[in-house]
Amino acid sequence: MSVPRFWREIPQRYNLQAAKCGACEGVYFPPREVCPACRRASIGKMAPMRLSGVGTIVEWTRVHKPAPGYEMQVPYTVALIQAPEGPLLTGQVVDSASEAIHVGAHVRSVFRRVGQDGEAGVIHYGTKWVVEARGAEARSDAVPTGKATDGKRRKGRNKALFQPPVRSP
Amino acid sequence: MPVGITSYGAYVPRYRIKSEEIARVWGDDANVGKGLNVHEKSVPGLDEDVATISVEAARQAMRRAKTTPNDLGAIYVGSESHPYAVKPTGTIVQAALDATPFMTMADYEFACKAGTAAVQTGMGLVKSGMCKTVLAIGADTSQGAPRNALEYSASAGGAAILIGAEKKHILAEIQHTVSFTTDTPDFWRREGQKYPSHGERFTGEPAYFRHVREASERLFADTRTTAKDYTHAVFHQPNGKFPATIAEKLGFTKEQYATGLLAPRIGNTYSGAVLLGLAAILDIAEPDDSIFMCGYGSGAGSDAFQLEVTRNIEDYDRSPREQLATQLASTTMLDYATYAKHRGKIILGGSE
Ligand SMILES: [Zn+2]
Repeated sequence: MSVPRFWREIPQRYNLQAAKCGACEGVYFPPREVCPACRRASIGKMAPMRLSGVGTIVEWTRVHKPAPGYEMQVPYTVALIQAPEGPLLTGQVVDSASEAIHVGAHVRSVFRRVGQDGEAGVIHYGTKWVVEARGAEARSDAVPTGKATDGKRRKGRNKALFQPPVRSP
Repeated sequence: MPVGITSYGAYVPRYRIKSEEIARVWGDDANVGKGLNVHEKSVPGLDEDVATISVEAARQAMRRAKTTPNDLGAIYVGSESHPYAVKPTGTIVQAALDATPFMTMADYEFACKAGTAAVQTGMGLVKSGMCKTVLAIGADTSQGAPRNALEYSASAGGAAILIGAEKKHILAEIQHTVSFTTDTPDFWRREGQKYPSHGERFTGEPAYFRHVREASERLFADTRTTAKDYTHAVFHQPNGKFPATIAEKLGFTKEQYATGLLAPRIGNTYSGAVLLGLAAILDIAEPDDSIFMCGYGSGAGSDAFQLEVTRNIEDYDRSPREQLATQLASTTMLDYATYAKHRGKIILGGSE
């Protein structure tokens, strides 16, 4: 990733900065300049908004064939996370026991290294997710149950999933 | 005008390795950890470094603070393992807090006492009226060379201390500070070297003990106090043995230093160590408790502090989910092979 592009994306990568449409109240992550639903009616009405940093896992997969730069982290977990504000986010789930990772699990955001441009290049920081320990629900009060489905792991989505961040529906 | 701690945050990565496991791999005496009083140490996650640890600690401090990131006049991050040789860790913390860009900043380095040096700078800036609040952070992800004695203790963690002068926000007033600094080559790392070197037995008496003793005794003299006047005491903890030895020499009892002594469970978090111990004390402290704190950094120097807890601590969020003890209770134990992977001691080769 180019240094200017990474730099421009710092607010969304570090602080989950999204955009809210003033016309339809739709929330978009990554932030958009025009609401895809309201189009011209949204111009000048897209306001920055920070997601709360909590969510619920709606789908997840364990990656054994790593994306470049993630070789040392194999196997690692990537999940689709439903934010209470609306957007679906893609992110890596870290520091969580494999039995704690399931559809419906509550997660919260943490600040981590997400990559680097080689040993001499700039370090990319951003948001990853950890499963909330039982007894620590206080921080995830705001999270709705989400779209918990059958709890089965789905296959064949590794590539599509591993392109953070993903667009909101 | 009083100056003091108006909020704080602490972060220790969840991974641990036991001293016995390190001893097993190198054929050392299984009791080596017992001798150092370090039974296990913290290990950073594969994606954790001083910037991420600083951000986690800083976010907790700001979440519990009565002031906002836009009230910050400075951020100082003290560490000997900054992720960049040139580019301040503080800039990453500032962005992650979404704090005002109108602030001054520099990274600090003084072996294990860069964090307390940051606290002293913050005190000066706040007391002089130059800044409303200052965030002082001490954090490290230090490494010991494999099979080196340091490997048993060098660990990861950090704490963030918010300094302010508004009486209604001060949780613990910092009443006095004294430093003692000399040119003592007990431990060093040259530019470009991956692992530090140390002066073997030279690290004890002329380095750690002398500097901590000099700063502590001067602070006692300046404040006309003795060890008996304090509720809690916390010292820099390169292992679990040194701080207990110096504490007792200075007249403190085990009851006074037990709460802040984390090295037996997390090892030496370097710049984070004494501030994490302070965070553990503040988590349980009561109004009017007095706290003695003395940091130490190789090279060498010591910073001693006298603090007094105020009634504001009663309204501060110290619920279990915010307490360091809760974090430390949730761990993942690693074997040496996984630990080596975490610490970049495994080199990947070949193609996928
Ligand atoms: Zn819209």
